[in-house]
Amino acid sequence: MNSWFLLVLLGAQMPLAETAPVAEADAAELQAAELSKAPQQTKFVEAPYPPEAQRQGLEAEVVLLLEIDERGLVQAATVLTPAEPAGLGFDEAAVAAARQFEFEPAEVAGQPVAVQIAYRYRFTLTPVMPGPTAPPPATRNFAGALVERGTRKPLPGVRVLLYQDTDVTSQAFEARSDSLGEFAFYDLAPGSWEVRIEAQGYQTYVTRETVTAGEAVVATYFLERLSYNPYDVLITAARPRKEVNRITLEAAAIERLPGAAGDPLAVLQNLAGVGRPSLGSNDVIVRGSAPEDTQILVDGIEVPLAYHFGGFRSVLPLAMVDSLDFYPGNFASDYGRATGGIVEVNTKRLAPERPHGTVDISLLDAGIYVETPVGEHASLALAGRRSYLDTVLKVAVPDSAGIDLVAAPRYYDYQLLATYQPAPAHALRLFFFGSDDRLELLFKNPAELSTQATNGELAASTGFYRTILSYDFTPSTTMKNELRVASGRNKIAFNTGNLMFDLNFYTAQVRDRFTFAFNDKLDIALGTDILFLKTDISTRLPRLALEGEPESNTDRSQLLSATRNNQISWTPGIFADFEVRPIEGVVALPGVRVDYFQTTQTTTLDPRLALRHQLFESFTVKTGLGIFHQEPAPDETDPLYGNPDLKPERAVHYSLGAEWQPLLGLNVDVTAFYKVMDDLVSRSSRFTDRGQGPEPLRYDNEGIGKVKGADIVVRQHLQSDLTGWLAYTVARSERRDSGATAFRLADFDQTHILTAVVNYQLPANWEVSGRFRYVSGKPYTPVLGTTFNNDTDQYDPIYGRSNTRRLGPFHQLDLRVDKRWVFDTFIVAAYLDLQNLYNHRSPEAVSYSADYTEHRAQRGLPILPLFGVKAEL
Amino acid sequence: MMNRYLAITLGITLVLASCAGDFTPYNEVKSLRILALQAEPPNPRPGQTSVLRALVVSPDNQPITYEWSWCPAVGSANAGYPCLLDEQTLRGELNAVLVGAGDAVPTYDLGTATEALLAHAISPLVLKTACPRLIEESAGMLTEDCTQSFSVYLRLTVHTANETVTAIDKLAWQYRDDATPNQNPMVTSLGQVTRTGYDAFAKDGTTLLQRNQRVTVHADIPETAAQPYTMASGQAAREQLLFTWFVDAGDTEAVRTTFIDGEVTWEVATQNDWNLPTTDDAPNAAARLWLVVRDNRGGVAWHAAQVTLQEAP
Repeated sequence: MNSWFLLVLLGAQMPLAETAPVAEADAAELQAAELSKAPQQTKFVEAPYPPEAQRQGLEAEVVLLLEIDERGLVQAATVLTPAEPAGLGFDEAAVAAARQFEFEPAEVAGQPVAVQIAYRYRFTLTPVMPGPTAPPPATRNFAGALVERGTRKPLPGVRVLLYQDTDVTSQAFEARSDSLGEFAFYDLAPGSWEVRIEAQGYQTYVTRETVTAGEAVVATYFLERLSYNPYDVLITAARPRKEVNRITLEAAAIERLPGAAGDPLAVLQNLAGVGRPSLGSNDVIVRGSAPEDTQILVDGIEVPLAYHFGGFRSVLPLAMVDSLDFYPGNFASDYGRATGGIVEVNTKRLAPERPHGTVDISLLDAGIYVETPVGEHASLALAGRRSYLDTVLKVAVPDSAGIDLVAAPRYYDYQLLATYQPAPAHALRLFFFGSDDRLELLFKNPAELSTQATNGELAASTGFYRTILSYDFTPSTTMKNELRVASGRNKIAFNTGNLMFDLNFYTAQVRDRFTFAFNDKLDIALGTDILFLKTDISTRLPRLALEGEPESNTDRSQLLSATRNNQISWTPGIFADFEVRPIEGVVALPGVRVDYFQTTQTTTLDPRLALRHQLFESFTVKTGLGIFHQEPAPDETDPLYGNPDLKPERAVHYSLGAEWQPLLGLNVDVTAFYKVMDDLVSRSSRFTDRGQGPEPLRYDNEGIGKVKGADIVVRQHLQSDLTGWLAYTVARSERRDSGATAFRLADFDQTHILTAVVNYQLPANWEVSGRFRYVSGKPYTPVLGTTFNNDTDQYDPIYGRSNTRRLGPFHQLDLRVDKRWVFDTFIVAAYLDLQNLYNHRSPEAVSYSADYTEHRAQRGLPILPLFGVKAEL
Repeated sequence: MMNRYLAITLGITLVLASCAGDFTPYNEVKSLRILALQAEPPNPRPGQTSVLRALVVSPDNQPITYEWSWCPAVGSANAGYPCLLDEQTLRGELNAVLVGAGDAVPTYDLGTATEALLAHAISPLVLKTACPRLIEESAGMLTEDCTQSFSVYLRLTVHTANETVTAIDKLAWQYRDDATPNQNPMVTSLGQVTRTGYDAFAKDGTTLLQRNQRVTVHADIPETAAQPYTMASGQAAREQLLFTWFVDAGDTEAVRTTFIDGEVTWEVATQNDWNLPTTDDAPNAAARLWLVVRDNRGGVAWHAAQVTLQEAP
């Protein structure tokens, strides 16, 4: 047994008729929560019924422990719970049969792993059917195939029973579908036959077929699943495996969350430790840190823009997503260049058995997804999506609005995913994806755009593409190498009146992680993470506001123009992670990361440590401590806009928590955290001399910050009709600016963040889910007075102390109803997502009159119904 | 990395997209306001003295007191443009460059008359030389570049019995005598566009306009008000003009209009629609209209007109 072996309590679903021994399954319930796929039985061997038990008319059940290897073969079968009564041969027969079972292997993050499962094998006496025994087969006159209704997935190992009652005789025959779901009967007598198909997890299928002499009946039967809810097959890794905190959301769970409209990243706001961003934004605010402190990765590679228009919609459709890992702090050393948290989107693990796809239409956009096998070892998926808001708005905006919608607003994204696994040890993936957003307005009266507008154009465009090539090499169960090579381009341009910027980044990234299971007590992971950037920038902007500062004044007399071409930046990093298991139940994860930041010419050393101790079977304590660095924003180190002598910002994460499973399926996770930040970039009034006389420093690294709080998560695992979780975070996030003596609230301080999510599955593929959120209002800086600026013909506000006021709280209830209609060869799913059900328009910001003498709370959206339809073909 | 810039994009776009809601429009004069400041000349050459004027309106015609001052280095807008360099320090720094140069510094307090004077009396060479040191001395000031001209800031605070407002204006003291002078624009008259053409409003306020009607108002301004000039890059350009239409009764279709050569025509820029109020909205028979014109080089001018409102027949 090596380190990949996991204990899985699984009663595998085995579809068998009542006349056969039954291996019955409970719903998947995992202790090893990190499985991305449970083992699926592909070959069932019926155990011979013990003669004495059959004679006595006794039935029994045996619970076996099966060890299934990475190929899905049963390596060992032992009895966990023997049959009652004992001594009749049930145990031996079950073990002998089970050793011949075959499975699709279990997977962790898409890679096959060996697991142990508990398997319940039930011996049930078959009622003796009247009638003669069928003669030896000679003529195949009834053949068919069993497929799952809606998905057309073949159903192997299912028993098909035929009955015929006539005035003279009664006959019954049975056959079992093979690995392709096909079955056949031979030499059936002409006449009408009742076909009865029963499979665990499917509705019983009964029909009649007429066999005519000299003709063969060929039929395809579509068996309907009892439920098409993705939660049925969901294996969630809700509990962190090693890290102090890691939350994994599977795509199936993401799709059904109310209020997110199936957006893979919008669901992050439901998680503990994640604050609520401003309306219209999906910024990820992790434990009081700024959004730019949290890195969003796709398959380990940094992506510059996670959302269309900064928060409208994720650039990756859910169809391309396998799962999402969220680390709110104390993440391992293989992640770097971030002082807040990590969000990693894992792209889909392709395993199509046939070509299929989905068409997804919502009020915002329409998308298509297609995946297909290519030969035996390769798969391909393609997806694309385009918004049609521009078309709608062009019709909706009247001519009198004074605006021409030249391109407003439009986004599209595209993805191509190809996988190739020529051998179990080699897995190749290619993921190419990108997005393009464009907004272009033309104000007929440019003065309405800005008092300093030089034209009426307001244009913004963002776009990027990435190519990620992944190669996983797993030469043995103790060794694995994961290589990621990525390249791409980011572009963002903005132009309105006198303000503009045009940024082009050409980027390449290489990540390599080699994992070696040294022995039972030690795993080692070594890796490198190199980021390359070539930047072309042209800007005409004022100096930008920092965290804690009100928006910058856009007086054109303060605009600065800069052009920087061919700026090269290398950021290489190396890391080492160790997993030490000194005694049973204790896991220590020391690690270290070294990064070099060329822009600031700084080398940083980040030691990190996480500890987990399973005190009892259902109770684990955990703690973490680590140092994290990230570079200042590009403008902050620019010689014109900022201070080129800045160094990286630093954070130290401390956390202490416990996980408790009081009941099967119920998990409680409590984590207290404390984050100390220093070297924060802060505005400075000091001067420096770089050899050309005194010049303003503008920024320094004298800012410090601290965040303290706790996350509490109560999660009901997805094994019953009622599922959900409650996440609550209490925190206080403060900063102290350069030269200040007192701390102030940070922009992202949100004292209370409560999210409750409930999902209830109803019969007939109906599903209802709800989400309630309560979040403390955001801090803001009051306006104490104004000065009329004669140059700009505007009032400039005079601000009071930073973040000394707070908006009222946000609270909202969202409700989502899903319904699936299952047809023979396709499924249609529709949803209605009602956001803000009780129409509470929470305060989002404070808006002011032009002279700041009047103000009021800017309210959020009223009740908002979103509707979408998806066809799965 | 791009998120910061994306945030700017979104922030600006949202600000632009946000509507004024139920707030009083910027151009409706309902309280004590400084509508404009003017320096004549706007960018004085060495030795010139600027005359400082203000367009101040008190809707209820209360007595107004004026406080004029100037400062060569002010702090951020967010802090209310505080003066960061006192007179003594300024004189000391200038004297350090050239003995006696500090004596030419005008007092910061420019008086309490409705108009004030500010002389560009300090040697440009001294200013240019002292500038980096002045910037350092007044840490946090806005202007960091004083290679082209020396910026000074005018401040006017006006009071009535119960209201106080403050305005700030920037004046660029030229270093060179031969610098192309900017001139304040000029507004000849304000009037309405009728079927027959343009009728200027009577200077005595006797022009009758019907309540609850929309009137197309026009500013009679010579097109030469948009002067040609040479930008810092050496490129030839024509001034951009911004017209702000203030009213104390009714509202206007546009708060501001603008002339941008090649983008917006002169005719469009100099016209606006004035929606005249009902008696319920504005019981006074007199309604006032002020047009303030700003060019993009610091030039300012204004013109006021008054009309008499009458009920529709």
